[in-house]
Amino acid sequence: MININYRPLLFVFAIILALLLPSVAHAAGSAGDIYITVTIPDRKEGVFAPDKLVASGSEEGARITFENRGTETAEVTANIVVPDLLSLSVPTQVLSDQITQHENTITVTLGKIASGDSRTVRIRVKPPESIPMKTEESFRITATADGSRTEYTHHITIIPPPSWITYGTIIISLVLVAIVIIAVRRFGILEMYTTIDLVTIALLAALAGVVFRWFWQTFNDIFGPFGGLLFTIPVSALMVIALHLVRKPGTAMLLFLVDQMVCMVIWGSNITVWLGWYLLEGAVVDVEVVLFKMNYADTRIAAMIYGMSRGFIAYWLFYFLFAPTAWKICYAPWYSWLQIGLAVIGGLIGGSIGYDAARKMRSAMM
Amino acid sequence: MMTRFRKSLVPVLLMFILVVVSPAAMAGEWRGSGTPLYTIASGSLHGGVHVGGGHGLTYADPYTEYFDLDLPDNIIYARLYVPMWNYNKGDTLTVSINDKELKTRHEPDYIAAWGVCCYAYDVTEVAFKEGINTISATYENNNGAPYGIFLVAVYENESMPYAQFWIDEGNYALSKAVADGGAKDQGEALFPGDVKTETVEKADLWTVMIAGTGGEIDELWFNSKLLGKDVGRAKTGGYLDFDHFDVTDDLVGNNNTVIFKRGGEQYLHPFNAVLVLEHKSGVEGDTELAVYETQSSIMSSIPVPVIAVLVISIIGFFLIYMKKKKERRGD
Repeated sequence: MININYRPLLFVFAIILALLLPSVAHAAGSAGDIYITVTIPDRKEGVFAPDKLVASGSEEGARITFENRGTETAEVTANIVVPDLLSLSVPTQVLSDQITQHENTITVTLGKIASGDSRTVRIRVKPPESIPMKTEESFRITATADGSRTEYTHHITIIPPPSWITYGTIIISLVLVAIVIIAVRRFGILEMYTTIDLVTIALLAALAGVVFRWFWQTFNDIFGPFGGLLFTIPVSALMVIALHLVRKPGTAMLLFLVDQMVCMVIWGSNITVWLGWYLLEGAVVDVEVVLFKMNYADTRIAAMIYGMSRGFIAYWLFYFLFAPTAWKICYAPWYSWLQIGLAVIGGLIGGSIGYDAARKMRSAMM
Repeated sequence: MMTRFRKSLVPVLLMFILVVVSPAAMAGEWRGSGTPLYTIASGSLHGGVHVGGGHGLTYADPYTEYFDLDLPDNIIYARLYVPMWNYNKGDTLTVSINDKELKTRHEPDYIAAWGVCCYAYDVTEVAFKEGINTISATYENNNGAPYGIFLVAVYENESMPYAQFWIDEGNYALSKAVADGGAKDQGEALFPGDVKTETVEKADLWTVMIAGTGGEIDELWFNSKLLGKDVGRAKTGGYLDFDHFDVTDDLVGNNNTVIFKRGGEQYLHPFNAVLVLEHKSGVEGDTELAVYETQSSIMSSIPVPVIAVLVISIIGFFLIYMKKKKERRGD
């Protein structure tokens, strides 16, 4: 007869039972297993900055997902409190009948969510027309499942459209226009330009604003994210050609001024408020010409630097100032910098091409 | 010297040839002013018209919109619209209704300006279900995406009052651009035919517009009544304005008309206008439905200014060259 000691075995069983008990207690599902995510704005992910809205922007969608990561089915109800700064509406959706809204609070009967399954609630929020400064706000979401609760807070940032930049741009526009008028009258700037200079600028600006703008809009899709090169390369090349052929202070600014005026007439672009903005890329290049001791793209390096500067300024202004101010959209930083990088590369290539073309044209014409 | 000039002229000429010839194979991007709104269907019945949709440009793919329908079995006519940004040849759009895919489309019905387009579907035969219907759009379109999904469904219900309806569609680019022969300041949507205004209990108007900008003041008129200013301000989502107006007091006896005035807008694209009149109880009538021919426009052309600038540039640079040559000889 072998005498077996069962005590260790019983002890092991007791430990296993103790470990299993919580899951038995959760057999009916627990709110702790409900994983909540908020996607706002509900746009293509990656391209647009998450959790950032611009005041006075248009209505944006938000997606709130409740995922059951437990092992058991859970019967879930949820309470979603939307920040008071946002006006809330609930669009028609699969769960429409299970959603009730009271002011900025939504109650949703999500029903039974099986293990690994999820439910999505869609809402629409409208940012306020204006706010004095960048403001952090929170969505507070509570999920209740079979008597237990889980809470989740999702922070978002509402930024005012950079209004000082808007006003600044208008002031810069007016100052630039005033400087141009004073310079033209006082120093006889226009007399500095020969008829041939003005005709050259007009032709190059028309090529940039009409032909290459159309060319870029038409074919940029073929190159996907690199489509912008179809615009930055020719524009930089034309700018370098203008600098090299005309060889007068203010050539780049005059080129972009005429370019924008042509665009306004032909394509109906609205440049009145943003004129200073558009002129800035030319102004920067004109300053560089002076800094490089009146180097009118006479060297390849200078031509490439001018092209790159123009690309950087134009695209940086667009992604970090124009888009949030005029379009009320915040692009994701990585996407913005990718596009700026491509513009700089386009400027580099365009500058180099422009340098070769300008030298040939100069030797043929001068 | 002439040889060198010829060499420098070669890239310009090559560009000219590329620009002029390539659209034959590529389909150009500038599509002109598009199609003024016109009536695609009109009629009358005891019943109603469901008009719904949303929700602006988000670049989501698939792009999904939900519709809550009451009497899907009684639909006598239904039209689905997917307005989209940035159409180019080779793009596709596949719409699914309750997970049932419609045939993939390779061309939209209406297109204007820089590729603002609209795909229109007759979905009368599609089996909608009572309650929530899910309509989603998946697409191949570099840089483009849907502005929204809209459904107009006409349904019969004998217990409902007698109703008249007009469904107008199109895509007309109102802009100050002269690329298409001059600025377009105004567009109209006509609801042709007579209306017995004295028996009308209620008149509802829905409009869909794309590309309106807040602060750029447009005007929307119904006959002689100003319905609103700055109506196009992207209030229904990115670039989208979907509006409903009660126009009961503004009806006229025949040819009611919506007028879209561009005003200060840079671009404004009216897409749809739907008018539904509900008559007083006691007014009876048969079901009538007239569906008109689609006036699709997917025109593609090189704008005249593009050709003109190219020609002028070539002539201009040639003249500059000749003048300089003459000056050098003079020296």
